Amino acid sequence: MSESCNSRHFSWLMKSCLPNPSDAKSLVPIHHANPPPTTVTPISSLPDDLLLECLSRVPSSSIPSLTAVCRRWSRLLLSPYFLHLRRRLGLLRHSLFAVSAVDSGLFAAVLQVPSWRVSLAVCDGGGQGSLSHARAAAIGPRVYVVSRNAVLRYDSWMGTVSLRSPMIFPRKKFAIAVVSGKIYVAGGGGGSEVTAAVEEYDPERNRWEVVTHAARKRYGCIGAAVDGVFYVIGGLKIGNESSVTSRGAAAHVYASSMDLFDVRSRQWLRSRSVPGGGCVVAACAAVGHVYVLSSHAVELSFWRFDARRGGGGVFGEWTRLKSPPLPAQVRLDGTVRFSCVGVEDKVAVVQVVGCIDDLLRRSGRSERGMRESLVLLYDTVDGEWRRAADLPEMITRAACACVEW
Amino acid sequence: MENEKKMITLKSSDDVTFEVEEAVVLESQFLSHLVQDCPAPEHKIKEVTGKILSKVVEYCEKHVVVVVDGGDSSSSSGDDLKKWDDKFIKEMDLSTVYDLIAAANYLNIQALLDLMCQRVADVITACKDHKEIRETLGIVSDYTAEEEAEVLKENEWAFD
Repeated sequence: MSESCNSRHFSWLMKSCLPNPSDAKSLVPIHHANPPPTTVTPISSLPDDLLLECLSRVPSSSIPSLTAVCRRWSRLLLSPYFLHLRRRLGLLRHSLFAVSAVDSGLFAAVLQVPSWRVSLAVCDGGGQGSLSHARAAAIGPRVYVVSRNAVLRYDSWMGTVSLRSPMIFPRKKFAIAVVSGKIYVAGGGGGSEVTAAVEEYDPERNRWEVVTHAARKRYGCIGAAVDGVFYVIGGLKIGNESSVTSRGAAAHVYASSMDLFDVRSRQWLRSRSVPGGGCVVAACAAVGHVYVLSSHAVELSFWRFDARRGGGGVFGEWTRLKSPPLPAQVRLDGTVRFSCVGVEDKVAVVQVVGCIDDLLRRSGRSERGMRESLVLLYDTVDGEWRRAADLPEMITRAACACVEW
Repeated sequence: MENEKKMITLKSSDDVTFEVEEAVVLESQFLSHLVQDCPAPEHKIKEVTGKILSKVVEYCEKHVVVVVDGGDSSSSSGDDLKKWDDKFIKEMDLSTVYDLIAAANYLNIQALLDLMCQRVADVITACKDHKEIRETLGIVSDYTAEEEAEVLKENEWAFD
């Protein structure tokens, strides 16, 4: 093994496990031999944890160069500890990403207020244009675009796209969320098959695993996660297979309830209903709450569910919030779809499919200016909605996620 | 009695001794516990050489908050200290920086560890590409030619 690969695996675990500084004498000496005075210490002599302390302090723009230096560095950059250190140093920002797959790879747009920055990341082996109905989930700087038969990983630092293992059960219209660095999917279906299986994806092992089965098979549901709980929200309740095949007619039926799966204890908690009796069209998590956008025939309502389990709030309490500033009396049908993403203390509502002007036109109204790709930001602090720049035109049928990068 | 400064002797791996005030030793969590638990007049630090320990002592002496007899001001203002830190690292070769990182980690002196790691990061950041990083830090690539081509492939295009 060459010198540049000299490493001490998981040495940071040893360090972080020390209960208190008074145990310091039991620390394993990191400076092994006493080198003769003429010896020059190479950087490769630093153990992984200390090398990471150095590497984690570079600006994001230098990260691609680090990967190209040697294998050891490349491996270290993928470790969760690298992300942890950058977070602790305040070097990470949270941004709204919208991605859409095309034949040659992936369009990725990041909202850097006031505008979007778009790039095309090319995928080896060509097209994944079949990623329709894809849902996105981000673990740190990496966005996983999960669709029925394929999973793409977009690395926002590196600008690279790579194929990852597909889900065990091919499905679309499922709920997705990230808990403790792993992805969870539930609900949805594919073809004539509906699965109750909830799958967990481990990014380090690149493997999916069934962790539990859901009591309700929700098709078209939405996922969110707060405090270790995976929320599976809304969707069409599917009790047996025959109702799936008739989903064409039932596609606009949304349930107004959510199932709660406690990831650590592997237990389902009591299900909750969303007040107002509407159909959930979008939902996400932000600052300890689950935010839910509900549709009621001709209007939208916006709700907040207190999801803080460790105190500081009233778990399970619903609060109605100011509705998003969309034209009143718009009947949402399947041609307009929204995606909700929590970005720090903001909730972004992104219109990923359809055109509100068309909706208005169909109902005989002449108001204009709400084309496709509308982006609205709800400020959870002052309770106000603000319009952000529309999605760039390259981004169609976007999958959205908040990326920490 | 209060004004009487307690002195501690530190001995490096190669038997170089340093006599420092107790306050200086308290900058290191490791040493403060060592001094508390073991009230010997001299403490041998087997893992740190005299050359590196002298740097550690120099740093700690500068950073120790000395309460002047009036009791209301510290020895150095933040700006002065930062200027001193800059000079301290600029005069040091990278080999010493790595040794100090290891020593600061062992002795548990967080501020010194931060300063040295930031120094390495700044050196890396100043390089224009991976080749310059390798040259500057003396790293031999272990990538095969194919792997390197793969790693360096441009796969992202930005739209402005």
